[in-house]
Amino acid sequence: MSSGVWNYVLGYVIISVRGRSLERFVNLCVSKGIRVWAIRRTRANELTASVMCEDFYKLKPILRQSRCRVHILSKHGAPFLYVRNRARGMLLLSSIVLAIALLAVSRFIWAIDIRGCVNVERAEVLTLLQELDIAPGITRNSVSTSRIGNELKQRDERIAWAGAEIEGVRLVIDIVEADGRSQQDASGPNSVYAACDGIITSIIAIEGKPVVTAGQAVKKGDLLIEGNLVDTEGAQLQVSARGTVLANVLYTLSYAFPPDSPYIMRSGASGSAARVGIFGWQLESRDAFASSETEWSRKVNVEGLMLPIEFEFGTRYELSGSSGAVVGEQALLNASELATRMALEEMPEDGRIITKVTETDIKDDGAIAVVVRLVVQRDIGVAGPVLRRDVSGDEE
Amino acid sequence: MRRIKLGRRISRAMDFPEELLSSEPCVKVFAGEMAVIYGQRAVLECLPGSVHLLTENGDIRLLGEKMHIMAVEGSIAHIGGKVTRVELHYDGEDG
Repeated sequence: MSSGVWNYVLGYVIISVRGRSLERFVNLCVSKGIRVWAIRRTRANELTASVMCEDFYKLKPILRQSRCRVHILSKHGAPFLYVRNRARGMLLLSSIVLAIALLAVSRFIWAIDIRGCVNVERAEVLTLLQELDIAPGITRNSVSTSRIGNELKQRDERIAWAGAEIEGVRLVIDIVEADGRSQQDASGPNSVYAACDGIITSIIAIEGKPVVTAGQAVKKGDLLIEGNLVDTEGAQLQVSARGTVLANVLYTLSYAFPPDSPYIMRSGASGSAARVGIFGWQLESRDAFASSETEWSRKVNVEGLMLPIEFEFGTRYELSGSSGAVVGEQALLNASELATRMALEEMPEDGRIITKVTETDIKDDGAIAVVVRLVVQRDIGVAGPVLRRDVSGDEE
Repeated sequence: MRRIKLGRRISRAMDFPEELLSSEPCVKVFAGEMAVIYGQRAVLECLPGSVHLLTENGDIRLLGEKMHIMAVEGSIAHIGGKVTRVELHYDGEDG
């Protein structure tokens, strides 16, 4: 099937054909090479179809042969658009001016997005970029994306890798920060210690000697992988101990929510929400609820357009009007859900949740207390100074 | 002696789509959306509940709901709508 865009550019009409031999009309069109599409039978003796403008004039002999009559229902396409608006000179001129302006504006970078910032502040990266003469308003041609990554890495040792990409009029900088915990001091040996209390589930020592086994409980600061070794001849050998020590760690987090806090007051009804933003201005979809709160979950940056348009999608939750001492079942569920989400956000990124238990309690003033207990499996090893030991094995 | 279907043999050997080389009618149904008929010669009937097409070796009737002819290009017809049943009355040789 041919492209609808091409049909629009050349122009087409939607026609109504009446007669007894409608199928013969269609067959004759096909045999004569006349493109007919979107053929729908509307009545016993009538059908509607679309034909190109130039083909419409070729229908006359076919209509005579098939004893049908044709009537134009509507006209579509660029030629008809031009004919309707050719008297509006200013409209045409302003369209041309706008197109030229958009073309000119699209040659510049208007926004800089920085992704991957955790410990490195976004403002710090922007300052580094300014040192490289990169700021909103520069031309796209003057930005060397391959050079930016190396420059950022050299100027800030906390950045392990950086990459740059131009998406329309936005410069997107992706940053991977160096993980300080896993970095070993290349200039000296070290051992691996426990960063927190836990029960060891597995220990893989890449370098050094493991001193704990799976199933063993350790406290914060306990030695896990020894970097101070003794060789077969009895001489001391110090290495940079490295490895992965996985342990189950128990986290207990408590939260208290007043009964009239927005999330707690969700009634359970929800609806979708969307907003579009350009150059910092935002237009939001209509709110169907009298009182609501919105959680924005997904952001889409439209690529390939000349303007930095962002779409955000989320969920709008209705807030119930009640407040006071009476706390409903829904409020308890909401509080439990919110506390769980807050607790999960505090968990380390490399952790895996093993079990989760929540307990809710209502205080005398109506506030809801939630206790979340999480057992998380994570790598608890951190590098630390190696302890010197004498030949008898005593640590110093 | 069994007649050799050269078009089909070539298309299978070269991994070409069979319906383009063979003159036999072929129906592809995309459940709930549309159907594509290869090898059609003429439209016999076009109704919202039934589309009847003539082929080289017989005729094909498609039954369904809200059916319409999206496009007819030579021997290929695109039928839109929900196709629930396809009836083929085949006059050609078997095998």
